[in-house]
Amino acid sequence: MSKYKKLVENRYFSRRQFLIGAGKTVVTLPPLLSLMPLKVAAQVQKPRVRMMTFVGVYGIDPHQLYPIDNSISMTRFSGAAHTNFMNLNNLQEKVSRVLDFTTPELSGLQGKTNLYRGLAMAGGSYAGHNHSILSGTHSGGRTPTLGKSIDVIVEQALGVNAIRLKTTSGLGKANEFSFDRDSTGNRKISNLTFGDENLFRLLFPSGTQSAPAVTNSGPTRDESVIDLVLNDVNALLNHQRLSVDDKLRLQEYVDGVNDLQKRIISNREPNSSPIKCGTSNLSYEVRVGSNTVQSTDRLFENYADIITLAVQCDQSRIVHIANTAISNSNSNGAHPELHHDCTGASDGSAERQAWFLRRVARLAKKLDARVDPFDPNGGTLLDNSILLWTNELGSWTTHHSVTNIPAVTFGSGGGYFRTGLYADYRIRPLVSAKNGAETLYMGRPYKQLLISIMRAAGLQSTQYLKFGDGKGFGEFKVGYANTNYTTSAFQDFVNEHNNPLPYVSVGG
Amino acid sequence: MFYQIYRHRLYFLTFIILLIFPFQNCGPMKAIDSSELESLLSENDSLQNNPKMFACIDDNKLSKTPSYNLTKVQYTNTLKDLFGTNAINQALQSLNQLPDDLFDRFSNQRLSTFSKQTIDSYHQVATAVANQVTQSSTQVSIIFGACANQTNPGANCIDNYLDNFSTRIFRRPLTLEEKAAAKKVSNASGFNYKDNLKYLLIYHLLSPQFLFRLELGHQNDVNDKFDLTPYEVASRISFLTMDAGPDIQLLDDAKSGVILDVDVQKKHVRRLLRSQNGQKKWVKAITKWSGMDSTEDISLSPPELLALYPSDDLQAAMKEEAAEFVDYIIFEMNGNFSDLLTSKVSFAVNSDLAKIYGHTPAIANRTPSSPISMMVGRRQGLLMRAPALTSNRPTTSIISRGVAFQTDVLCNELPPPPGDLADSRDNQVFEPDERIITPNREAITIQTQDVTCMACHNSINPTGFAFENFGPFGEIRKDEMTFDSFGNLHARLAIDTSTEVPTWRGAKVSVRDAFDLVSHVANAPEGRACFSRKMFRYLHEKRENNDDECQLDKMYQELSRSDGSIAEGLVNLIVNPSLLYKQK
Repeated sequence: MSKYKKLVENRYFSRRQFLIGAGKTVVTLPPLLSLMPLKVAAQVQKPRVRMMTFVGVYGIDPHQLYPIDNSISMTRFSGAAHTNFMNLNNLQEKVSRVLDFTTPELSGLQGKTNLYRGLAMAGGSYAGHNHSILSGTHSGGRTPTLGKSIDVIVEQALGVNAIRLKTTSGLGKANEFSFDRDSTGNRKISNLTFGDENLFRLLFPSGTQSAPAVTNSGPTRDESVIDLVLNDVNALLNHQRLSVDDKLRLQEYVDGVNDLQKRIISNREPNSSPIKCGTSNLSYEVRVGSNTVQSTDRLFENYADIITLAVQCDQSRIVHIANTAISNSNSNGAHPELHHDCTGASDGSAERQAWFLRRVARLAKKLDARVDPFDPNGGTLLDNSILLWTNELGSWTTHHSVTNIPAVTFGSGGGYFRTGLYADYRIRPLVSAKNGAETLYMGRPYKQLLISIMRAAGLQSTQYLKFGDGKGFGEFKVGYANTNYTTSAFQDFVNEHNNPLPYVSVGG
Repeated sequence: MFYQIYRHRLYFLTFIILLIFPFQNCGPMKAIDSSELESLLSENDSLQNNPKMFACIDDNKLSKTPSYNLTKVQYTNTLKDLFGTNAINQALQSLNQLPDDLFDRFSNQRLSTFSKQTIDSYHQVATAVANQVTQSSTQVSIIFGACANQTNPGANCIDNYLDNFSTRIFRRPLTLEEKAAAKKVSNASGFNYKDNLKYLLIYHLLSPQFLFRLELGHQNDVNDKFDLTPYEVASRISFLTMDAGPDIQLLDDAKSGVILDVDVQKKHVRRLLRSQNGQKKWVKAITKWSGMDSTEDISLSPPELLALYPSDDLQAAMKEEAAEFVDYIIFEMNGNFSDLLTSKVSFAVNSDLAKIYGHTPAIANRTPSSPISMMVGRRQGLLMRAPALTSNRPTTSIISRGVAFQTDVLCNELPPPPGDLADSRDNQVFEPDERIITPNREAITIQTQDVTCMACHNSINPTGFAFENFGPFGEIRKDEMTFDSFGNLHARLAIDTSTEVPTWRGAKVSVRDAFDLVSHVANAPEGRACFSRKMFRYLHEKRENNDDECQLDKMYQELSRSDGSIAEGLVNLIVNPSLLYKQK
């Protein structure tokens, strides 16, 4: 079966799209949510959450991503052990070389970003580069031997095909994608097709369709009422007896209410230039070889536009991009620049990680610029998405450590995640061990973050706990290989490693 | 005299010491300057039993008071009082989405700011409440008057609401401009009247007058200080005392102006302290102060320990019992600070908790005539109850216990150790086979023996040592059990709780164990003073400064009286001259 046919046969069609695709044939069907007026549907409909994962290869030197411990004061979460947090807003805008909100890509995203520290593969041992990081285990080999990648689990649970992209052999060298899964349901990233144009055509094979637009008529009374509220607060801001701090606090409220008003208006107004699913005005990136393009930056920009259109038109809700830019040799190419304790590896790795994170942030901004047509509350596509940028190693050195795995998320997953936080999950008091030149910090199981993401995507525990080592999702061992903590590193998490990550997960 | 002459040289020497030893700043909090301290110290010579602890110089001084938005608790309580539990239940889902407020662990300064989720929740809650109210003829009649249920209510039908119920939402009468704006919504043409009322309620529930504790005053502006209106005084009393908006009695006294009278203020505070919201607020404040509002996860303990106390709900029972104890001491017994720290009364109904406290299970659903259970052995009062003593490891948390007692009970500030210091301490970690034959006290002593560590650990460690006769479940123990990596009992090691604990201004107290330490603090001025500081912070969501000394002193003085009580101390903390004005 060709990839195209397979895609068309397996692809998820919304009810609305199905009817349009059927040539506007009048079909009598029982009333469904997708056929109800949006406001009616909204009362019983939760936001449609999209899950996107972005995995890099080499790990990162902690000081390139996190603020310096001594320079900050965090709050301990009383509801769970080893959980400390602070608002990202209380840090410098340039949190670190990699997470820099002064850059155009990340500016303005603090409030919708989370930075996680201290997450560790509890008990996992490492055997080679792979992306089993998304399976909550790191047991070696390309295919997770324990567990199953969360993009696959969510894909199967929701019945929605995922978009998968992979870069290989160095940035800008090969950029491929695939929708495939193998017979066991695992992700399959062989036999890839190449390029933005092909991705677009695979996603929108049947030509132009109208994007689901929020239907509403005329100014709402909510808008009028909120105008009155804004008038009142703005008048108050000039009051002579308000202190500067009080005015700042009121201004925060004004900003928030203004945003609410914008969302309500966006929800009401028919888009002046309605998006047509399947219509592309992209300038596809020029190929200069069988699998190479002129500008990887522009290619990623196009991928981001296509992904945004795809989720807005509900062609997919799951995206996975693997940035596997590695060379086959330790002595040349990108590998020694990024890895294995070589001179300059810390900086080289950070540069490449920053590049990838900024591409993810650009996508986040595109999602944040679009109102989600499926959200009854008028949130943006980003509000109803959870984007995870992570890495398969904790540190950039030769030891392939899987403690302190870097993770950054954008979006709140439909309100499931608290956002705007720097969350530190290292075991307190700090429990560390030396591994060569590295200091490894033990922390909460990384898989708890993956569980939070799956919960945000709407999965019940029964849908993911079965994929693992028999003790729940992924893998969990009390000890940590090759350190002093072989017997008890993760003892504190014996009873909660299958729970969502505390504090950031407010959706239960 | 020596001090007078060499004072400046001492300052310089102190400066140099601070430069060399950054952790010399571990110690009592400094809310007063040195000249005030000098005069205070000389007065203290003649006040041995009840020394002055605060430099109250000007009764009219007050530090800046921020106008925060309502906390989640205040928002929920106020909505419940206004619209009833049914209306709130309709909005429960949106209310649960409202983010929890965050406060600094030590200063209790509000940390949380507005997020999209906060604003969305406000909007959704307002909409849900307004929907519920306007769909009920009874509610419409109560809130807007009977005319609102008629087919054609007149243009002035809304006046009843604007003169009465809206006063409770805004916590003051509406201005003419506000009434005009409201009438535009209620009398909008082309819409169903009840729909208009719904949007009017949404408008008012999103108004900053409702969502913020605004204090705009009305006269006597001097140096950024001004008098509050009687309605603002009523609001302050209400939110400070019970975390909810003012009730009708308070608003009536604000309307007549008698709320400006101190006796009337005290009458209201005493009344509201014993309201459901008031009791809940102060029980929470005191359990939070003492660390009794949370437990470590004891279910992670070795099987041998778990088998001793198998109840699934033991952790919840610990917290509930501590809260009931506080409620009993403050509100039933009208107890004082010493009662809070030394009473042996227990309400442990859970059999495992009763076993930990050494008595048979207490009677559930007790009445005033029910017999009261008493804790057995060298355990007394709130600070030696189980929740704050629990540990999620086989060993006890000497450092956590020591830090909590020093910072929360004695108000000695302890900055967190820098990362590299923690690293060096971690390098002292024992091999597992060494650790299980080393008493916890000895292990902690070795781990923190570095001179830099000892700047703070010289007070943390001995304080924690005194509590070593309590095991990881808060149980009294005679020896320390250690466990191998499989969770099997390996050894029973002797414990030593005798120690010298630094308390206040360099003084030390020799104790046999925590019982002696708590007995000392229960009767020591530094204990009462620290408790006053902590309640102040809880009350005002900020750290105190020199301008707040008189407020603190009023509570401290009440706690120091032989017939004083904590409840009356709170009355004094709330009712004082600073209640009547605001400092910008």
